[in-house]
Amino acid sequence: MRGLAPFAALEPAALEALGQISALRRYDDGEIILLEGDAEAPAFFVIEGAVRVYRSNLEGREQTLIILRPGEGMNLPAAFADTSLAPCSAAAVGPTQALVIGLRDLREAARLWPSIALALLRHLANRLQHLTALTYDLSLLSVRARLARFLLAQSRETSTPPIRWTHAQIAARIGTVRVVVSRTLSALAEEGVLRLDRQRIEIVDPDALEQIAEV
Amino acid sequence: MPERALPTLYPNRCTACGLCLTACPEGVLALRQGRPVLAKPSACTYCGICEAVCPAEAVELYYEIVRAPGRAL
Repeated sequence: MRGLAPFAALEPAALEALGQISALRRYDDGEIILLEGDAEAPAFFVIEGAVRVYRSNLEGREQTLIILRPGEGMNLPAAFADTSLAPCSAAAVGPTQALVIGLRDLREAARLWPSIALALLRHLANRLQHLTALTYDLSLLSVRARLARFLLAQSRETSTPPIRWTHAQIAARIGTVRVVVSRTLSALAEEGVLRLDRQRIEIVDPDALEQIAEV
Repeated sequence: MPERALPTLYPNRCTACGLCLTACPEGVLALRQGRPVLAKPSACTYCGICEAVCPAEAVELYYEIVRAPGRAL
């Protein structure tokens, strides 16, 4: 439990209290962990692997909201909001382990332990900042700028093994469709900003890409 | 990442429609017992046409996103 970033600074008794109400679950690559609208689904904290959190429309088009890494939680709003329905869906990216805590238990832990309540508040505040930035990106930036931001951010990733993306996954992340991603990548390659290798998208002119990204 | 990347096939998603077989300019893909296979992997140019035509997302091409050597960000 102490290895989880949100709870790293908790006192031993609070950690023990959390340990008593949590359970470990394992998920295979691609396995659905959470479905939007689930009533009383628990809260999750990623221990190992990664989790893609997303919303989808009736046509099946998806918007990835965030990729969660170890230490990050999901479905926390359901524990504290007026409705306990899960606000989004989530699927494992690679073999994944998560700690699961029932919503009622999490609420009670937050009520009994101010340090837990503050840790959760900080976590939710960080997520709110992320979603605020995402709202700006999706509503006020062009697809080209969003793709440039995504490429710059991913090129700084230090995950081992490195994360690999399909054009469809990139599209779900930046709020467009696969064909637009493919077309925009080709255009950036023609402009000399990128080099499209067999299995790599290589940034050859980061200054130009930053200008396109409006950063 | 292997030295030479190849399309990733998801046989469970495949509907055996055959679109990728006819679209691939190099004839890399084939159906064997209703399942997609890379029959001529060495001929694959990773062009992405198979991925683009597949209506079932049964073919996917993966990419790493990296900076060119010596180009600081």
